[in-house]
Amino acid sequence: MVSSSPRANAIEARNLFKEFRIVRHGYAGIKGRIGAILRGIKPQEDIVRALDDVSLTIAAGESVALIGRNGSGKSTLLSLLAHVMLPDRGAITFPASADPAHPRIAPLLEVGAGFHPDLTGNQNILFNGSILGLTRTQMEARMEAIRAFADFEETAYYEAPVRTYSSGMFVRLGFAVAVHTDPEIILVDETLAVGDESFQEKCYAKIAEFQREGRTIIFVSHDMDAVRRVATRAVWLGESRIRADGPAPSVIHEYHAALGLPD
Amino acid sequence: MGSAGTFLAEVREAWRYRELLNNLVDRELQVRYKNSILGVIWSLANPLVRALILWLVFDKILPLKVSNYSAYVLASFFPWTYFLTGILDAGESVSRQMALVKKVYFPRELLPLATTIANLRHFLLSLGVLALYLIGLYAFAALDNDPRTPSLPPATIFLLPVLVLMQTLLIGGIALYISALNVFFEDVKFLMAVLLDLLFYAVPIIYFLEQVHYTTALSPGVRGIVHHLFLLNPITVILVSYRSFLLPAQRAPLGPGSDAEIWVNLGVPWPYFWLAFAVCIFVFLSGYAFFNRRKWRFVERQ
Repeated sequence: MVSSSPRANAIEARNLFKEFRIVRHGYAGIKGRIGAILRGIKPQEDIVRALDDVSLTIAAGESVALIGRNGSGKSTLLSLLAHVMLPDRGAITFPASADPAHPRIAPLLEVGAGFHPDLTGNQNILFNGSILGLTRTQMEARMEAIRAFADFEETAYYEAPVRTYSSGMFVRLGFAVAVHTDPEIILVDETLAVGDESFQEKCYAKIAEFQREGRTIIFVSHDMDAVRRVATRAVWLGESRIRADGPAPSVIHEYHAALGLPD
Repeated sequence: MGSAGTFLAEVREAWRYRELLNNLVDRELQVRYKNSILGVIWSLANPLVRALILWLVFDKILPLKVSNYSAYVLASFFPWTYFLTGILDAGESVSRQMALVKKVYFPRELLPLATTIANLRHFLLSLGVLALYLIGLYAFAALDNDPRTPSLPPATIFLLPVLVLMQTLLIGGIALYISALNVFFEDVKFLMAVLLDLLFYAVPIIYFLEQVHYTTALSPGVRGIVHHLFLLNPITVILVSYRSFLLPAQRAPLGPGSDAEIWVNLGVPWPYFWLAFAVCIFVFLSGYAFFNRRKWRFVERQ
């Protein structure tokens, strides 16, 4: 869905630069440092440039896919958008958000990352919700919907520690919590590849619902069928820069041509 | 924006997330007892057993010429346990949560602050056990008309909240320092474990500060310096103050095998107390700044 009328932008990222220093010692930690000093070795630092002057504007309600090879800077860009990292230079603003200083962003990245193995499913739902910025009362009102979405075979599982869960159940519960936090912007990182087919369909249905509701979706994937299905626009990142930006089919075509792959 | 402005902005941002802080504390306590049915009883069992053992050892088995010695040991031992667990738990408070830190934004300082507050809650429970013990002790003294024990604790008992506050600031400050360092150097938590093990003997828990001041093992000049060094350690000041705020001074032997008697549990001179208070505030504020200068690099650590 491409909106023709000009709307406020959900995300405005301007001139983002990001470098990482990778220090190589024999050992990590204090021992490695001291060892390196004693042997007269200067710690070697490799500088990796992850983003090199990347600017990106995403309108509210758009669904944009980030594509590119491993190490092209997709994950770094996603981390900057999720505000878990700061750019070296450049700025990201969220003008369309109800509270631009604190946009509600739901990262569906390795969902369940915040689950504690010794706590029950129910306890983890409440805690994960509060990490994503919801109050306990808000979460308690959503418990039924979350459990219905995760759709475990037996309700007793919600009272069991999540360490007893299968990896599929883990992901299902994590996804269920994240999609029920009323996000303005949803960041999806390959999460759709997990879970069984019926759960994947449920996730696609939820994403379609988000799109109808006018929420903004940023989607990172190597699965071009998934990209075509979810995104209307694609951004191709290569060598830390934006190589192409436009309608998903034509950007995928360009990307595949550069890789020497058939469409 | 100046650094003071940044500091205030960061405090405001952390305050916005106070409900999450509360949930992190609850989670810490839920996890500690793995949702066991006994729950709170377990957190009481530890100090209760500790009190019983120290009472048996110091008041019944070892013939020490200090009346109610176990009460004096406990009054410093429970606060010491708060230090120990508060600092050891904080070490991994960030590094254990890296999966979360890499994915979701929230003020990272909440992690070490949550372990500190969880340990504070435990400490308050153990103070409850200590209070029962002391009520029994003072009640018996009143019934017996024991000339060595007054029937009421010192008036400084009303300063107890100040003491708990300054100790919490100190632990929180150290927690902020070491949780940030431990992300980059995983040796830090092992180093802390060794240091704390040694520190146990360098602070007056199983002895009195006055026994250091007047010990015959050191020449008068040296022991004066050592006594001052003890007083400059805020942990010593805190532990000694718990004891002197809760329990009376009394005459006790200078040391094992010595017949000389000295006054013990006189507390610390007030200037040292307020100096320690200032140090605790400084450690907390500088720890907060130290942590915040590094918190954005946690996820970049390769």
